[in-house]
Amino acid sequence: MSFVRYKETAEEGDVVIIYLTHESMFPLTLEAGRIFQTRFGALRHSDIIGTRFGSKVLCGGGRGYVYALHPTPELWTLTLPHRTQIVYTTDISMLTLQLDLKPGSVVVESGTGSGSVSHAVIRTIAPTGHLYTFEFHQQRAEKAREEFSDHGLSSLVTVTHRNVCTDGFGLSDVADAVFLDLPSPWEAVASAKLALKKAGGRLCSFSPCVEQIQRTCDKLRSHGFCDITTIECLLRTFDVRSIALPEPDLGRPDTCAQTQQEGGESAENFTFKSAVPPKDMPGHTGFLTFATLYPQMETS
Amino acid sequence: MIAEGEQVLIQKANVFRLVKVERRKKIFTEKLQFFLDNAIGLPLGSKFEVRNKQLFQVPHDSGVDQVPSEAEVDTDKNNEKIQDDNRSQKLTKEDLKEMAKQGAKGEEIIEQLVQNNANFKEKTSFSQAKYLRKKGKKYLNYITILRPTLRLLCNMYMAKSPSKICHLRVDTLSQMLTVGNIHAHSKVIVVDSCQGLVLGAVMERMAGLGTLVQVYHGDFPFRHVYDAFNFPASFDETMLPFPMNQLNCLHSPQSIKDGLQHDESAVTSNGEESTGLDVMKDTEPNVEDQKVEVTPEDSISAPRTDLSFAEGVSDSKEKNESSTTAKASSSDTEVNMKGEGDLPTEAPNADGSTRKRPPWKEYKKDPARLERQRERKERIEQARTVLQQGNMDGLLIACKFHPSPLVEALLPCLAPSRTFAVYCQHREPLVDCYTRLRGRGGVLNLQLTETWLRNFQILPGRSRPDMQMSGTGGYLLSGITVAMETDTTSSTTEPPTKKVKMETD
Repeated sequence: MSFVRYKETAEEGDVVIIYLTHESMFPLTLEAGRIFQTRFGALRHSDIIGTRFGSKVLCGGGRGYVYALHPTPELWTLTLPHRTQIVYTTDISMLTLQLDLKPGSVVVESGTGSGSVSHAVIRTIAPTGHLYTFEFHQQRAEKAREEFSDHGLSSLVTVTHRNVCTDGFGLSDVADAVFLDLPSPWEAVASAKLALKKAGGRLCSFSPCVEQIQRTCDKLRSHGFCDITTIECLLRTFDVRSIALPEPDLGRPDTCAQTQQEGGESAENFTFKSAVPPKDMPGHTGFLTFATLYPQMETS
Repeated sequence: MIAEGEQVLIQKANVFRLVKVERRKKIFTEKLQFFLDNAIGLPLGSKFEVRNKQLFQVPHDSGVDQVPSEAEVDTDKNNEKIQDDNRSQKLTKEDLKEMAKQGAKGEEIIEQLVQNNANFKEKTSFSQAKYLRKKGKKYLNYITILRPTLRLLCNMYMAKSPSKICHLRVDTLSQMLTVGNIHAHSKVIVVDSCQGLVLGAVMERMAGLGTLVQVYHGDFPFRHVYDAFNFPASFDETMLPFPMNQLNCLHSPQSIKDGLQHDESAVTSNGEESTGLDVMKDTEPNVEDQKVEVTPEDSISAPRTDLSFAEGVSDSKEKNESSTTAKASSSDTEVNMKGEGDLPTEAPNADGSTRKRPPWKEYKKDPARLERQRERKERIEQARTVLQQGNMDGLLIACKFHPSPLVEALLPCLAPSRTFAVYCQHREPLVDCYTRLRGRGGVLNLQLTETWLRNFQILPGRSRPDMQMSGTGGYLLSGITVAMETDTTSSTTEPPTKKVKMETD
């Protein structure tokens, strides 16, 4: 349950995120007696069990240490075993807010993929909401079901193995929101409309290509969805650094001679703190298309 | 359901307006005047036409721009023959005024405009659609009544008065909420000078389960946008105010005694409440009990001695006061002015006769007011206790102040392995904050980020990015707390401060 509720100490069976460095984190399910090999040396699970989340745990016989962090959907997204390409936190944040998700929301998702979006959605809709997630790849569906169960989330999620593009969601008038991450999302629009509550709801489709959103938007319009918007959201991470630029030597005003003979660089630097943008960054993840289904007007 | 007494958003084209639903109250928006009476009881999200100052429900496809389908996209037309001489329209302003006077519907006026426009037929189907859209904005009187969701509220403020929400753009706010791992059953600290937008967002994600400490500056906690969410009164129970100017003495017990005149009663009530609060956050059934106690029906008949009830009263009263003050300071949104008598807050002293506030001199000594003051103090003490336990689950800061001192004062209140997110409109203060936190230690995964947001027009044959986009949505500093080291000797994973690097280009 630790993905939907904080706890203080790590117990056997819990998932912890082992933090070695910023670039190197691993998820670990605690089992007494087991050992996890890190580049700082062997880490005994039993050394973590019973300690408070966020404490330092020694490994390699005290030569190094790691931090055992409380799992969050965001850390999970960074460390989960990839079975597919995944949607990352920047897009997940946006879709969570744009789908108006909150505790109690009922959400329909396809495909489940590696469960990156699922974990974040479950966290937000718990303890009273529910996620119906559909995956057309049988093995992945089973793996996801197992994972949710291991994470104590089974009561909040239903995993179904089905191709929703051909067979539909098989749900009607239940969902507050639908999230589509499919190769051909337009094929699921009709069924998504059926799954949404008659009182109205929101839909989001994530696709990397323009052609995909083009067809999806056409389909949404023809099915009576309104307020169709498409956005792209990118995250830029800055590196905070102290930078020192050498002061140029412009010579002395009185004599035209150099102040310092050798090197040409003066000893003084102009030093400042700067947030430096990365040289390379992801330039595209996918387009997020959102639409509203309004309640049908009752004709008396 | 559009319900009397609740706040709703009224949308006309791209303009939103926050109003409280009341009978016989005239609403002015975008040159339209109307009463909401006809809309009460209909589902939120309904669309209406305004006729004779009344609302008439219409289907959602009314007045919507017709998007030409792929087949209709004509590539043979262009603007070769269109004359740019301002003489294409045969109707004059007077003609239009006359039509409107005779009660012509918006559609009819637009139809006439099209008929009398010499160039309309020469236009491409997209150009025609654009023409109709432009005229529709002017002549069609459709509005939609919507639930004030976080998404719509944030966009509304961003469009109308971004400085009121510190230019906090919706994507940045969404990052804060996920990075901060805000969810039900957590204990979160919020510092918000975005009119209560962040506070409301956090409360929505917590659904009244857990504890929310609002660190406020000024005389009382400001919750203007928070009120727009129409949260049930029970949610207020989980919210504790704490004044910003007492943060410095949070961790020094001596100064508390000196500075805050702890009398005996405050101390005892403090003790009582901390246990009360533990109950509140640890066991759900009790939360349910307390919810029941504050429902308006109960509060009228409930005995005055019930502590949790009294607190609920004090808090919704505060809310009320804050919204009254909000009215004074903001002109672009409507808030409750007259609602006081309607709220259960008046119930305690009530024989039902006093609906208006008495003159200040009397009011100052009003026992109910003094009681409320005392109760607020108690809630502040409760907040102090929770903060001092150092076991909070999350910290979100989005305010106009320099964030570093706030972060330094509030991070010790978080348990280890918890996340925090600090928003600032400017980058430099967060660079300072980053540097100070690196020096301080006890944090991992420090990240200074910015999100970039672009909207697209997706139409058959005409898909492209929007011509305008937001230049900045502000900056975010986030991280994870870890147990502070007692000795700062060995550190293999991350150096506390990076070495000064030389940049040459």
